[in-house]
Amino acid sequence: MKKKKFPNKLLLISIVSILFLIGIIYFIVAIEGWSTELDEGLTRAFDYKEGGGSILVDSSGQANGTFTGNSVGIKNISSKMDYGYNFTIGNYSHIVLPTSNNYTFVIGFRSSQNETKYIISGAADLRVLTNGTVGVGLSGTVYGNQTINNSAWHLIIYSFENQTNWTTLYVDNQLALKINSVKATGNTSAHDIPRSNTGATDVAIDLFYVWNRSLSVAEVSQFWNNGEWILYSIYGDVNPLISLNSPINALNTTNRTIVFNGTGSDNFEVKNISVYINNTINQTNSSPINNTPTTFSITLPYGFWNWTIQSCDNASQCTNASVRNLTIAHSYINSVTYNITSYETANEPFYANITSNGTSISSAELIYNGTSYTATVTNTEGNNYNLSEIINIPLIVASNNENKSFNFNYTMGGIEYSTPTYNQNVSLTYFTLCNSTYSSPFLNISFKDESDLSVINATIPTSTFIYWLGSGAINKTLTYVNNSERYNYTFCATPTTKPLFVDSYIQYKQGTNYPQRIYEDNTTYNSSITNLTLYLLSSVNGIYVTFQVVNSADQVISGVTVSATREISGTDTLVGQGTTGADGGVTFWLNPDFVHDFSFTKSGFTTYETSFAPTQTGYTITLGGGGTVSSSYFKGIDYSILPTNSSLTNNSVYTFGFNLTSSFWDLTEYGFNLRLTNGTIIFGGSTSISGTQLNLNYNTTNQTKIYLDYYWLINGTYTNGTKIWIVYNTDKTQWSIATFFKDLKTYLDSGFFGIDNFGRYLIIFIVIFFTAGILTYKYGLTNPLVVSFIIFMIIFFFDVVVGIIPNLSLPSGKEIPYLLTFVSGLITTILVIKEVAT
Amino acid sequence: MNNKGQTMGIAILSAIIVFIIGMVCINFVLDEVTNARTDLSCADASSISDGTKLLCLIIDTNVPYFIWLVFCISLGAILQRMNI
Repeated sequence: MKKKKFPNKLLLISIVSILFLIGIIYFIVAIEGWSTELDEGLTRAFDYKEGGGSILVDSSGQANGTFTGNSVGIKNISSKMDYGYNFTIGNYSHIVLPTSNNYTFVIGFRSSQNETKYIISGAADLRVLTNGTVGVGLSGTVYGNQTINNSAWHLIIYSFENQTNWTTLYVDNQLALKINSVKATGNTSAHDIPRSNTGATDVAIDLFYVWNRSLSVAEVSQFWNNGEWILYSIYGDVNPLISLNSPINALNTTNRTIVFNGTGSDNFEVKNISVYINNTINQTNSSPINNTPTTFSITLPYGFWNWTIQSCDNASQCTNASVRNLTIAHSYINSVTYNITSYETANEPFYANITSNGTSISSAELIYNGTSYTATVTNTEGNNYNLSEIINIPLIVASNNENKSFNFNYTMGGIEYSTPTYNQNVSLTYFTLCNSTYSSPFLNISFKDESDLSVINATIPTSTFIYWLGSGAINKTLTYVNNSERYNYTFCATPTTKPLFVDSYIQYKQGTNYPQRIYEDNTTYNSSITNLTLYLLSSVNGIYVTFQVVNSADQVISGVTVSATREISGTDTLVGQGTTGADGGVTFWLNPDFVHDFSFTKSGFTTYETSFAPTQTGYTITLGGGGTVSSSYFKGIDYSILPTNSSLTNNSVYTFGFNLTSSFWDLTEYGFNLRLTNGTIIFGGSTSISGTQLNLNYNTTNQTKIYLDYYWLINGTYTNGTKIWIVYNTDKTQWSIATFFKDLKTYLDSGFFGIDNFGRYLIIFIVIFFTAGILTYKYGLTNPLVVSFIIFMIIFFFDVVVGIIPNLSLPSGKEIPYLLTFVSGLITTILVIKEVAT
Repeated sequence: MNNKGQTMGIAILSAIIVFIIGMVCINFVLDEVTNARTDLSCADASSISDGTKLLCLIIDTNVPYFIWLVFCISLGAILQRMNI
């Protein structure tokens, strides 16, 4: 079989066609846009697309130029490449080029007026002449004049090489000049575009690029791009940048209006900046300033929000900043301060610092382990509040420690808010006889014989230790009993880092050899062991001594703390301690051979201290001051009330008064008030001086009853009483004979003509004398019974009916009302009995 | 009815007439007494002089005295007819 040959010619043609096609595609791509080959030797790329400012941006990032003049050029968006500047007289841009032997300038411009203009200043300037041509100025002569249309945009590319003297000029992709006979001289590093001192007006610049080499014909055509030109910025535009300025991440605030601040920047232009709230665009600024902070003021509802800011450039390239979050709340908690660990019964402070939204925090409470404690609210400044509370840590249920939860509740504008819940680890507080578990000794108790100071053993029939760490409001109790005699009792406690307050009550004895004694104390112990020596007295060396404590009224006083100390080895040592019972007595086992110091103390009474050898079995101690039964406060009290009338009349002024003397008690105060039926209290007066007459003139007006409430205060105890008068309406009775006697009594009480008690007695005596005398004389009424009866009636009338006879006083000073009436009535009664008997 | 009985009846009738007229006349005195007591501030013992107090007491006796007078006249009329 003949092997078929591969058609080599066809294969070669195919490969060449493919390569040609690739080349065509590459060429098309290359000439329609910027290619990396153009980057070689590119030293400046000015696109004249700044939004403002004085900086002419070099898109290649090598060296910016400046806009100079009274005002910068006006951005012309209708230019060839959409961006450009019109320059008026005195305005221009200035650039500085790196030193190079070769240059290529690419400039897009438009010159609308027919005048000579220097588009580029410098050694090889570019001029537009009045004859409508453009050319290159070399050594004072313009070469390569090419006619141009003044109203159109033109792309000028010209190169010059100092070494070869070749100067090439392309106008709109047409070679206008290629010459090496004339060389550009002078400085070519600094240029004004357009030239500043020509007076040229209305020159528009669209782009200006500089290479340090000559461009090839292909590159010129690539740049011309069939009249569309190409722009470095399209090739070099990078994504914009965005930075968040405020607010900070995780902001907590009570202000619902948030100012979002971000700075967008781009190597060309920032077209818009938007703020996103919860992934949704909220506001957009379509005219941001490049590299300048942009702010958005947005009011948001209360809640948790995430946000970011997006920056987009002229190429619709967008960049989002990192997402931040913020919380807007009615209030937020700045801090909650507490000890992470604590102990039972300890005092622990809890603090919370809260910022409100302007509404004041009216109240707060600490909820600890389910129990509410009222917290203190302090407005530190502005909307900042401190909540604080100190509590005694409650007891735990677990054996060693457990977590207790707590939080603050606070009320703002009638609405209660809560802080988060926190935990505090609470450990055991324990006081017990030392053992393997609790081995840090706090208290060691030993015993000695009071007589010979020998160490002895003893039992503790009972003891109670109430202990705590804080204020004592919450405490624990150890009850310890040991009926086996021991020399030492050592008690340990935990925690060892805090002082432990212990209220001790210990009964101790040694069988019948050493009678029981009691030790009571309230002491602070700590891990530095405290040695306590308790003294017992042998049964053969002591006697029982009972102290009966009474007050000044000979009433027994219970609850009196009694202590007995004596000097042992130069030290005052407590040998007896107890509290009087309901019978006012307490009994100690004491040594009668030694002088003891005794102290008797009870709140409200004067402490009594004395020293003697207790040789008797009983003593009575009287404590001064203090209280006694309430009825005793009448002892030695004598008082009087004004007016003495049993009733009053309306619209009359009476002198209401109260006077009190005390011959037994030391008065603290006494006084009275008037009280009306509607509850109105009228202050009458008060004094602390016994025997001071307190008076108040008061018009009864139309009252129906008037109450006089009097009181006296002795030893903190008030004794009260009330005197009531019925007030009669005298509208229809003010002309009666009763009015006469009422006025007469009132006037006499107010010192009528200076008539005192004696005057009254004298007047009444005269009335009795003349009445009885006239009747006896006129009608012969000499019978003693009749005369006595007449006298009784007269006295009765003036004393009881009219009430003008003063009360007679007993030698003790006590006044007895109507005493004269009683006496005269008694005499009359005796005479009647006598008459009947005879 | 004999002559003495008629005389007694006229006496009682006269006494009643005198009493009624007297009681009616008291009303004229009452206002004056009230005005006098008010003007003299008789109810306020602490602000009037002893002389005023004495005057008040005299005024106080006017109405009782007037009533006493009327009673006496009325009773006198009856007793006169009875030739007591």
